[in-house]
Amino acid sequence: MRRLVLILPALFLAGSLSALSVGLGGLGSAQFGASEGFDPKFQFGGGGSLMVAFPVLGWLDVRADLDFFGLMSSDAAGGYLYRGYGCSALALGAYASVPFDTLKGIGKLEYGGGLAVAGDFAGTTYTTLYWFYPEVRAEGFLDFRPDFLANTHCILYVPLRWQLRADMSYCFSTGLGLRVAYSFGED
Amino acid sequence: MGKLFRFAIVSACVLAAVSCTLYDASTSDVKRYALVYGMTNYVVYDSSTDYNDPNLTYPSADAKSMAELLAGWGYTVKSRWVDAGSNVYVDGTAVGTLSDASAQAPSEDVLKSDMQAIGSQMDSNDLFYFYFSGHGTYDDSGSEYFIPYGGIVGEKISSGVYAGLNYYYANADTCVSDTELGNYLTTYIPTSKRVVTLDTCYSGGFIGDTLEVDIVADDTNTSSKKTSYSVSASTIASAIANYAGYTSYSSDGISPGKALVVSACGAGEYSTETDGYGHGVMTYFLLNTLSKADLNGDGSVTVLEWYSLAKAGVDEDWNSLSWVKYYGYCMEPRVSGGPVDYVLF
Repeated sequence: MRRLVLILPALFLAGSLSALSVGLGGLGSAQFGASEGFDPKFQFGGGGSLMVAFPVLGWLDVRADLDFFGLMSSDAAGGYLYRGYGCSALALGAYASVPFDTLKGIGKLEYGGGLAVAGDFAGTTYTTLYWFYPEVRAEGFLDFRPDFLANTHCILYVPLRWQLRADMSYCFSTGLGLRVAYSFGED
Repeated sequence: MGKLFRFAIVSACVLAAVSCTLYDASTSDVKRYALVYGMTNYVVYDSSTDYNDPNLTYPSADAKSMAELLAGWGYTVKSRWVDAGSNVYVDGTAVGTLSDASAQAPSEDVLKSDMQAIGSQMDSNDLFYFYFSGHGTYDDSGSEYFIPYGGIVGEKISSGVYAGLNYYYANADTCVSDTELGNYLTTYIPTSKRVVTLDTCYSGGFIGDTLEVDIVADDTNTSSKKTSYSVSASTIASAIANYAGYTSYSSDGISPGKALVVSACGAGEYSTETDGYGHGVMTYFLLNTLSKADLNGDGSVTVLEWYSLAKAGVDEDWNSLSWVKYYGYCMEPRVSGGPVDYVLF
């Protein structure tokens, strides 16, 4: 029984590994948040990400992302601003997709979405101060698979992220990103 | 696809409209007030009988220059300092000496009444800036103090806190601790935009961050001082632990919600003054870097911008001197954490 517990996940992992996807992307984002005693403001930024995805079912992937991004400080209206920071984040989530359309001679389109959780490690601009916050993520995406590039995905995505920051009353972000991924073992 | 595109365009327009509405607020409504103290002479020193001079040289120059700088930028400034001749100055005018005008010297009681007077003119949208240059000390329980007039007694006392001043000792009751300063600020100053700058020894102990981890250790003033710092696994672990146990109240220092503190040095470091600068080291760089401190080019200088440029000056100039390293006088200015920053200039 104990062997079975070890062998089954190993077989599943081996199967998944043969069909895993790797990718990299870029994201422009806008964050909206407020701290106690201060009005909400926007902060803008962007960054890049590396991802690896394992298929669990034909329509469902488990995906890990490693993100690096920076946010500029907000505007200074009212004599205060929200601090800019740089951040690294590790996210793990599940993403589903369904076929959407076939563009004859050009490629295939899929759309989908998913949910993830992330741990973010941030460093405040101009300082040697570092801090942590968890994050809940949702993402909708449009996946284009061109006929002329085998196993390649061009993914346009819109993330919605809820930063569970201890020092803010609330903090959300969204944006627009583009990711290019390569799937191994896909026909 | 067409619907998706239209949705994206409409969303972008809504976002832009909301953004413009929020940016309508202006900084011109923010009135700025400053309280500036400097303590050069703590006692009337008699060199014929006393070989343990606790007095400093440049805090009066620090306070005078800082008061002039702030006034030039439109601050309403209240200032008090005591110079090397034991003369007491109020708002730039000599009002007597410590022998006959000590009631107007910057003591803890005067600090409270000055804060109360300034606070009565302020509203919740205004900014308050407090500056002190002079001695700092600490006690065995981990509290740090700055030493205003009346904080140093001329002989050992059983209830005092050690000030590192030869045979002079600081009296905790007449010094201002981190906790006391935090309480005075929240009691008397009716705005959350409070900024404190302390050019004193051990002043980093006034910073009461409960979320952030500073990768610069409290004490770097050794001959083996590191010149660069890096994030380690323990930094990440500490940051996660701070998040898990987060409280907005700091039991050790002034939390960012009460005031942003810029300190000349860490909780275990000396803050130094020098003839070469004619000022305290950090104050010299604060005074001389302001013109270049709009680092992001948005037309204003914030606490973090001013701090970071002054820190760079201390690091690149003062801390690079071989004798400073040798004798352990390196210092690292620090700043509070928190999510917000304030426009100072």
